[in-house]
Amino acid sequence: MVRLFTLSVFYKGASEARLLKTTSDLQSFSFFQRGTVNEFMTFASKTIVERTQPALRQSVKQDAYMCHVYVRADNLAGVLIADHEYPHRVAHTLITKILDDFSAKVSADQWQTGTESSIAFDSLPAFLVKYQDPKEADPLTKMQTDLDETKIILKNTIESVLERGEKLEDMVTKSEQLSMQSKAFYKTAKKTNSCCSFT
Amino acid sequence: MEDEMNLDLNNEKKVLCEKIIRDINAVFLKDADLSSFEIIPKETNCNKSPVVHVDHNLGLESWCAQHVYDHAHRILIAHRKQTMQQQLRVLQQQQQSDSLAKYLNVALLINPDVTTFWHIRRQLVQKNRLSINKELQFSALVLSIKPKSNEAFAYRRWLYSFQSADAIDWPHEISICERAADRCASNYHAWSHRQWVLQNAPPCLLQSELMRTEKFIRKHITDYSSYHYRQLLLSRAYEQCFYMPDESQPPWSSLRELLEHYELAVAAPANADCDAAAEPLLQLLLPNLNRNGVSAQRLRSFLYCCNVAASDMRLCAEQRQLYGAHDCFELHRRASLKFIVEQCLRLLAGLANGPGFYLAPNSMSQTNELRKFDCESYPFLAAVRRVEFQLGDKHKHWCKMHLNFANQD
Repeated sequence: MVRLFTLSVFYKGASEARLLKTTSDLQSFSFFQRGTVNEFMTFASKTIVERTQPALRQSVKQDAYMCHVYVRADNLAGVLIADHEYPHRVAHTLITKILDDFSAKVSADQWQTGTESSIAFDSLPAFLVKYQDPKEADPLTKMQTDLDETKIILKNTIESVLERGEKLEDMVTKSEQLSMQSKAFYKTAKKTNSCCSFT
Repeated sequence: MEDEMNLDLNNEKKVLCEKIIRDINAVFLKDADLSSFEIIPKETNCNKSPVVHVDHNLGLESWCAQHVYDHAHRILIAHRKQTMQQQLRVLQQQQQSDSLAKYLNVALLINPDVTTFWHIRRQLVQKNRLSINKELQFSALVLSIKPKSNEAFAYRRWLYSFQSADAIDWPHEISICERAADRCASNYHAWSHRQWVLQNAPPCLLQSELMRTEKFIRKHITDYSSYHYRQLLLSRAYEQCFYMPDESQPPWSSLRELLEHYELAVAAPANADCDAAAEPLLQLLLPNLNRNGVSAQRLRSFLYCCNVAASDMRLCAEQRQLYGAHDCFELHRRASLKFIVEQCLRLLAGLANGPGFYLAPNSMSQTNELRKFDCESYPFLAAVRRVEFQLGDKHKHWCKMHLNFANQD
């Protein structure tokens, strides 16, 4: 399957990443899972941004999902979660394009303090719909010929992105973004080895 | 003392399970358009009803699923033993079967793999205790939680055996297959069911199927089940002499492009008339064909289906460029090429009235007939052979085996 799940833009601050804008398409998940999956995808995106150095591109594999991240030198970061069949090159081209658009529309002084509601940038949902078909990105890939695919760092699990001594499970328990319900979901799903994301 | 407490606890559990089953049944009665069922992971009882019903979606919290299932299972098995041992009076049986349905619903939603329960449902349908429409809905609901449930698909086919083919909503059946195939890759049962639809539905379904499957393989690039279904679909279309005017400009552009790839030029027609454009193509693919034995319809369908196969070959090449090499692209390209070459051979050898492409293997005499066939005297076949042989030894071997190029080295 070739599918995009979420697109988000973060600002990587000194201590933590700040979510500036996000959108998602979770139709392929069963109804009662969607809320939890959404929380987990945001959680994973934020975690990965925080652990990616500026001016670096990474693609992190987790189960059936691929989390593509690019943190620019000015600390603006874009994350795209897709399945693993979505072409990596297209994913990174798309992130570059989104960040370019974003910084053109939203001035840099808003990045540090902005929130999802205060920032006026509404084109993410349209991007998500359009680029479900990676072929749409053809003209983009032709324009951005400077993207060097060999420079994208590939990681096989989310845990390999974490710092030494960190454990995903502890992070889930500690996280303030995840609701009680999602944490319970995570625990149960982990136990029954069901199909929830990022477990 | 301890026994008494256990008894109390058991009773309490029984009452709770009964209540949950009643709640689920109430949702069934209230909502005629339930679209999905799932088990929501939740470990503890929060003193709220574990039955959640939002926007036609039904959820059951996981902590109680096992208890509820055990309870329903016990009741159903007890009932079965009872009916087998003694002939109950008809009235009593009817009363029982009404209450039985709610246990069956819950048990099958939690565990769709129990053939016995599906069997009890069949018996109830035969006694007119369950309505066919409701049963179709129920099996679709089971497929929402287990898209690979063969029992559910088989049950649907059984239910349809009581209806006439014109009364069946075929497009709906297709969308059920598609949803199940989308949720689970390589969903053998869903694609088999779709083949059954294809065999039984009127030919007007072919056009939408050709469009839908193309869309599907573009999205599910490594799910070979969908490619395979598309191959069957194309041979079915050919078998039925299916034809649609080609709307590309100039007409038959995919086929034209393929011929160009094989270094065979066909002059573009002056006007965009489909039939006029067909003639030079037919001349090239089937030179000196004896047209007495072949209907015009057959030839039109031949051109149409070859054009679809040619566009699939192009699609595979495009996908390969975008996603990198995958077996699926290579295999489907081969299958499409095989379709074109095989249909050419059959027409040229005068075997076109024989069985369809995949349906039956060639008989011995037909195979011998084809063996004697000399590809070199036909420009299209000779060009295919020349170009395809350059694609590596493995591919060359395949061509010899499957495209009848074996004996002309």
